[in-house]
Amino acid sequence: MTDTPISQAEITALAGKLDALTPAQKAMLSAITTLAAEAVAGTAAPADEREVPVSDLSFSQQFAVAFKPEHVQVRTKPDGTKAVTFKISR
Amino acid sequence: MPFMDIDRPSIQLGLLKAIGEAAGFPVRTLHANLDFAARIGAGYYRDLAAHRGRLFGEWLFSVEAFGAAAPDRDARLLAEFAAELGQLAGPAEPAADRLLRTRDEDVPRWLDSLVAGFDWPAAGVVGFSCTFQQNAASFALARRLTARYPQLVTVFGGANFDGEMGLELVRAVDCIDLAVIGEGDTAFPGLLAALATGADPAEVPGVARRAGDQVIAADPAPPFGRLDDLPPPDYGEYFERAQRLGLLPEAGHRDVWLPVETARGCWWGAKHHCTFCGLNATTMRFRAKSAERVRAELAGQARRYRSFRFEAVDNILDTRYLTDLFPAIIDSGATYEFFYETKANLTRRQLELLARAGVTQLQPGLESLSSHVLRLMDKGVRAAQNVNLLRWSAHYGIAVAWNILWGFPGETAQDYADQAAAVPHLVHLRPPASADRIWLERFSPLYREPERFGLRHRAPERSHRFVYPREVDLDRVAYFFDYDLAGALPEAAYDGLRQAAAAWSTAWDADQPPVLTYWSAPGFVQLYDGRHPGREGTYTFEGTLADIYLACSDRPTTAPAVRAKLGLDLPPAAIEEIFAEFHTRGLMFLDGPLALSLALPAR
Repeated sequence: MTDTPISQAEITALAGKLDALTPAQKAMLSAITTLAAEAVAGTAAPADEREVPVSDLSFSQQFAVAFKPEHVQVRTKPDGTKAVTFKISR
Repeated sequence: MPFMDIDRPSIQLGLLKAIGEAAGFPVRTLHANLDFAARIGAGYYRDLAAHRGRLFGEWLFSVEAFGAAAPDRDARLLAEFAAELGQLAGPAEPAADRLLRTRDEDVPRWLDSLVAGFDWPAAGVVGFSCTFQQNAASFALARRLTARYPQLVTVFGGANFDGEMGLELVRAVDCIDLAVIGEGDTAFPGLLAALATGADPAEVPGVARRAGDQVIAADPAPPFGRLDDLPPPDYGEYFERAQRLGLLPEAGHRDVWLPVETARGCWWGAKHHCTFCGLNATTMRFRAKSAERVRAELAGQARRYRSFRFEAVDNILDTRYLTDLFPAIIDSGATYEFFYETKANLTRRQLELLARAGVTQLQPGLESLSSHVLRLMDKGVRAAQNVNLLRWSAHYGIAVAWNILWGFPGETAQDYADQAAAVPHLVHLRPPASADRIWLERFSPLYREPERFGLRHRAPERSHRFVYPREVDLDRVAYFFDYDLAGALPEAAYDGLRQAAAAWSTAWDADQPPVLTYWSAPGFVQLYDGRHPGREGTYTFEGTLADIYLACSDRPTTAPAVRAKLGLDLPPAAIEEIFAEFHTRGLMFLDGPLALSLALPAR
């Protein structure tokens, strides 16, 4: 989860460190990547949260987030920048 | 006689009394173990009775049993096994002192009171039934009685007199006049009839007697097959004596476990004798009472003795009872409680049925959580079946008594590393009562075929020589043996499993016992994992993952079977990857191609 804007370059740099991430982090990163790109491009919904259906996750991603699932949301900060978080829908 | 359990009557005495009286002979029973427990204290007695390894119980009576020939008047046994005496210490008395006082003071006084307390001359025959550590106490009383009343005829029998054990004891122990070798259902009344008519009892099938330094013995009759014809055991004198001695309260309702015999032999052992099992010797053939006979006996014994708890002495449950006896008991509404020994391959539905019929305790002979080791034992079950029995027994409220055994020829260190790794996932299930090396028992395949199993050395368990005189051939008398195995794993190979089993017991006894519970709706399952403090949490699975987890819950199953049952498009290899993911999180037990979900459904 992050409270600061994420640039496309930073996302790319994170993606390069994929092997060092836990399965849970990989699952979140996969979703964050998509959402962050939309946020940077200004195409993310201005709503407080963006949901990803579980059925859209792979089996390994479902296992990764099955235990104490964490919440990630997309929200617009007062200064107009977008913060990316990620929420799993149940 | 000591050291039979004092908290239940002896089925041996009860059945022989009933058989003798049915044949027209007046028979009385004497649970003299009750008198000994009243003398030394019931708690101390129970500690001695529970000790099955070294012959401490036999040693206490050895001097009185064998007189000048007793091998250990100097009590060297107490020093030899000092490290193993700990739990026999008194509140303010070291174990060695306590045992010596018991041997030298309590035992003689107990014998004096028994000899003085009955009109022995009125009894023509005095019988002793001996199992495990009952020999020496029986010999001690018989020696006193025959010295004072030479006209008495002493008769011995029981499991300790099976096969060559009985023949050697008859040869070497003077106070034994006659012995029944094997089952006594026809031999005992036949022997009484021979004595009554002056015929030679040694001509009765199964009866042996000494002639000089030889033993004359007629071959035993075939194993008794008409169990329905047997009278129910008579336990009246046990209850009268226990109440008189203050060991049982006078009560309208009793919670005493009444021994009941519904079958003999072992139907599994008759086909595949488990390699370490020394039970049933020459009588492995399986015979069972009819369901109608069992129901009538249960009802009669409950009315007569005002207890509704029945401990089946059978070596294995007759599987026909799952379709005739137990459904009938359920339909009758009887509120019985049962203990049974059984094979471990019972299904969920069978365990549910047993629970409904009143089975609260099972001894299923689990022995291992490794399918490889179970194959070496010739148990005929897989580890996943053992785990599944633990699961559904826990769910239906059946307590399971089981042990982990090791030391089997052909086992590997990996067998025990795998079990140690699995144990932390199983802590929500009942732990084993012990985890230890197998004992070598007479009559077991390990004993009978030493070359096949690589036994390099075999000798009677070490404490025997502190009990029996030199004249007794211990190789022929002992039931337990010390041994060495070629290619045995080092003790360190078992350390991981030993420690894991100990941690399992500790976890089970915690204020918050471990749990792994699931709730489900179609296509949705939530599991609460409370097995390890500090790592609790809830898993949530939906769709295919939920369906697969639930499909593996009733019984161990394979990926192809799950695929077919759920109509999945996934290849079996993908389903096996899903099994592996569940296993990594400790939610599934994997046993070769078999997968078993470990969580239990919420009640």
